[in-house]
Amino acid sequence: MRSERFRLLVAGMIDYAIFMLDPGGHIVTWNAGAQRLKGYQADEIMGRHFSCFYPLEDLESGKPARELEMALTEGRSADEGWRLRKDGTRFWADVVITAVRDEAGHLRGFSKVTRDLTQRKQADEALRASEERYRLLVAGMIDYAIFMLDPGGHIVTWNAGAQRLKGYQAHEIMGRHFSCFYAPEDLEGGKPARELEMALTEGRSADEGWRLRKDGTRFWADVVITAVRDEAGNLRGFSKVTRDLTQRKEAEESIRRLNGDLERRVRDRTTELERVNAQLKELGQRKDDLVNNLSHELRTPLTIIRESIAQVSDGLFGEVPADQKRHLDKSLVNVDDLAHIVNNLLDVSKLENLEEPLLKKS
Amino acid sequence: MKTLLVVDDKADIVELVKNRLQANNYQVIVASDGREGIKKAQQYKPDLIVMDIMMPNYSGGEAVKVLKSDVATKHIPVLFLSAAASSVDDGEEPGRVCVDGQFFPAIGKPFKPEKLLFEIKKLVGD
Repeated sequence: MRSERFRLLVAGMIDYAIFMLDPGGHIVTWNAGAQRLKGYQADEIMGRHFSCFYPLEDLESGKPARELEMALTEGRSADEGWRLRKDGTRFWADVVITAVRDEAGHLRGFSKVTRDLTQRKQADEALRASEERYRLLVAGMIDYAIFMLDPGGHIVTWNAGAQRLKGYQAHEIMGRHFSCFYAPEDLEGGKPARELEMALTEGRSADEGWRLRKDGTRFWADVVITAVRDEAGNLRGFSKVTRDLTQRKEAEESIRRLNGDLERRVRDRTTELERVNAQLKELGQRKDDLVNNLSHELRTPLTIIRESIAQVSDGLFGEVPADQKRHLDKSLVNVDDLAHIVNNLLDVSKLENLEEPLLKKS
Repeated sequence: MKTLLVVDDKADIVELVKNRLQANNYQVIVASDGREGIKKAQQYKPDLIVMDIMMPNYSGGEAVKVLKSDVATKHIPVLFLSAAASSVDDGEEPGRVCVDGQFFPAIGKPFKPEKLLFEIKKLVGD
């Protein structure tokens, strides 16, 4: 009864091909999974040797016999490999062959369980191809140094860009600690460890700074270090992408230098202008003083002359004969002309603020 | 009779101006520099001060500053009479001189007597 239930269970399984071979390797049972997987009806396959599932290259190398032999000696033989369907197409099979013995230990035959892993195999291959493409892509990039560090900071991959940028061949640098790219002052400051620490805590660390080539020369680098974790969140290492920005840096330096130079020249020129301006101001003040003094010196005697004549002419000191008065008035007209000329000559202004000169005198 | 104070360091000018003003019925007090001008103004409280500008011992501007800050003299009108470039008058109108932000009329030297008398009359009345 139990054996019957077991037979039904096996017969109904469609995801596994499960069948028995006799001690010589001939098929003696067949289930729904076997039929689905391999394409044979039970009556087509019963009694045939199980080697009909193997591709030609396996037959030539004697693989079927070897697997039975191993099941006999080890009790069990496991294999992954290509197998054939009835229509000649291949599938990737996981095969386990187990020797079946009775209680006395006599061989009664073999059980064979086969699973179709074609889809998994295809997915694996696609993944591998993608990884390979990615590896080739990274390997071929020459403008970026792209490489991996292990969790301790040791270099585990190296690409063409890294070789070009840093000057090391892969075999020279693999396994070394990435701190060898840092300048002594950065090493003293503990910068490499700090950058890994930041990548660990922040996920990413970005920096611009001087780095060393193999020959000891420096280049201005833009560096991004990223922590790489697996799906479970365990640290697998760090990726490090470095770009050489020396030319940009030099261009910036050059602009900064030119700016500094320009600013200095503007400053010098401004100082010079201020000096000249002060000189001009002083000259202007001296001119004003001179004009003021000249005006005063010329106009004071003119005042005395004019008013003296005017008072005589106006008769303040007694009657003046008409012909004398005519001469006096002629003199007045000419004094006025002379005063007018003096005013024009000195170009003095009618209205001027007295505040400043007053403050200066006191 | 109005009393006028004439302040000028040139004795000839003081004499001429005094003579001219007296001939026009003004009483005249004179001073020969800014400091003496301040003293006489405080002492006599004249109706007007005719003030030169460029003088030793307090210029005319400095003297006016002092007088305008003294309650006893701040009301006395001032007419500048100056040969300084800053006080040239032109045509009919008198020039203007600024002291401490305040403007005062100014007659330039050499002056026409009728113009001087006209401005004085404007400031002191008849």
